[in-house]
Amino acid sequence: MNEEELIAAAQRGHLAAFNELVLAYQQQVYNLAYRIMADPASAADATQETFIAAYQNIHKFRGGSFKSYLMRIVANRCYDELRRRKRHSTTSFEDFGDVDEEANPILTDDHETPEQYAERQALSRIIQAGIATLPPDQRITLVLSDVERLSYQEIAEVTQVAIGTVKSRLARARARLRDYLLARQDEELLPAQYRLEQEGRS
Amino acid sequence: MKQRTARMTQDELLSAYLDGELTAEEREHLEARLLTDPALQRRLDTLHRTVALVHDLPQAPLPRNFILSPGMLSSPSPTAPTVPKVRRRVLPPWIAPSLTVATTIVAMLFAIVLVNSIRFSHLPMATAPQTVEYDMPEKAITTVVVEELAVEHEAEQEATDDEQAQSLGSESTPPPPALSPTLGAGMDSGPSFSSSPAPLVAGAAIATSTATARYETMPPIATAPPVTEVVTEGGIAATEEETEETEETFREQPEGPSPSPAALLTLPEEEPVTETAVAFPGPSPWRVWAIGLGILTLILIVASVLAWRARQAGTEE
Repeated sequence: MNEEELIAAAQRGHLAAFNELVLAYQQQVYNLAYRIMADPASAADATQETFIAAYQNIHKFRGGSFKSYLMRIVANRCYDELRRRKRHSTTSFEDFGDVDEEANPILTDDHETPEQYAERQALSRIIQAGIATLPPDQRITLVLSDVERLSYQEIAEVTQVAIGTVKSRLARARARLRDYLLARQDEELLPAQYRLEQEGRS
Repeated sequence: MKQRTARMTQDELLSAYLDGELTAEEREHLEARLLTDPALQRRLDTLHRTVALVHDLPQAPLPRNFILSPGMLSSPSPTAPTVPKVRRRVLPPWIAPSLTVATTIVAMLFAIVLVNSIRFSHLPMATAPQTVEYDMPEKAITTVVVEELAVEHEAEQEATDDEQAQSLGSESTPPPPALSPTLGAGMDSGPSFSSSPAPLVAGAAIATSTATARYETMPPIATAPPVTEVVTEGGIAATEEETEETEETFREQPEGPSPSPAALLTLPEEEPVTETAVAFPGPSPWRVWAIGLGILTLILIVASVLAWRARQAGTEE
């Protein structure tokens, strides 16, 4: 069955058909949740809640991009959670050191030396920490655009704002993240090969 | 501030340029500026590098599968999610507050009635057991005393004719033969009376005191209270002064003016039965109301809790 048939079967109450859609999209949904929440446990919770909500409300799905449908749900879940604990945020650079990305064989590169692998892991943690410093709306917009590669129009549909707002939020998010990475570069925390500018800032 | 706004506009232009979201005119204008502005070019380069780094972030590994099981789903079927809503909306929203107010009022009434029930049911409950315990000795003593006083009155009348009758009040002499069967019957009716005289004399005194209190509240026979009072005083005096005396001594103890035998004999034999009816008036109306209101309060509390739960569930949906 293709995606449309699976959706139609799920709308008739066939859980097995919906689980086929879960298997197809769970990596993207979890990755988006993880990059927004910056926490594996919170991302897993948001992912599971997203699929439950998607199934319970699938009778409201009237066609279009099922991926955008899922992204909208998970983005809203993450946004609500971030807003809820905004005042109690204790995110720090060290919080991103427990990500076991080595467990995923896709992420390993046979031609990569241990030093290169360590540098890449350090870079991932720094970038993730920089994303975590952004306000929730900018963070979601940046991840949807630069991680999930959604177009402005798709981001506007997912976040339910105007395209002009998407442009503004994305530009501010990128600029803030760039400034964050430049600051880490000045502190020589950013690996040399990943520096934003090789000749230093003027 | 103006420069900062200009920088923000530059970042928006550069960001949209990287995404190919500028119009042809905007793109040409920006590219012309980049050729002549090294700082702007550097900003574009760092921004482009940042976007590339984010894009190159590896995908986070899945901690587990997220396929759904029926147990994860609260509603049985996504195609019919409105069934419980319809059922819950049957209950009007004003039911819960109304039940709460009614529960409060009934609970207050219950508290008032309960307090009154405890206050007014205390006295009858305290006297009832004494009446039951000494019912038979009381009857016996009352019968004996009434008949004894009648005999004494007759003896006093005889004493005016015969001087030997004066020794009747100070010495123990057997009662007249005619009274023996009656006294014996009274003794037989109280089985423990003859086996332990001293405690039963005290018991008789208490019983007669209780009888005195009840006689005072009994209006039908006007001559009864004084008679009973005389008997009571005599009983108490005999108990305090002569604990070793026999029953004959107890009977002969009363002194002073004797009441009229006719008045004494007007006491009906059914009198103790009437006392028993007064002493056990049945369940108090306060108690009946307290029990009823207590049950009603419990029912209203349960109904209020259920109504609030139903209302809260309806609000959440």
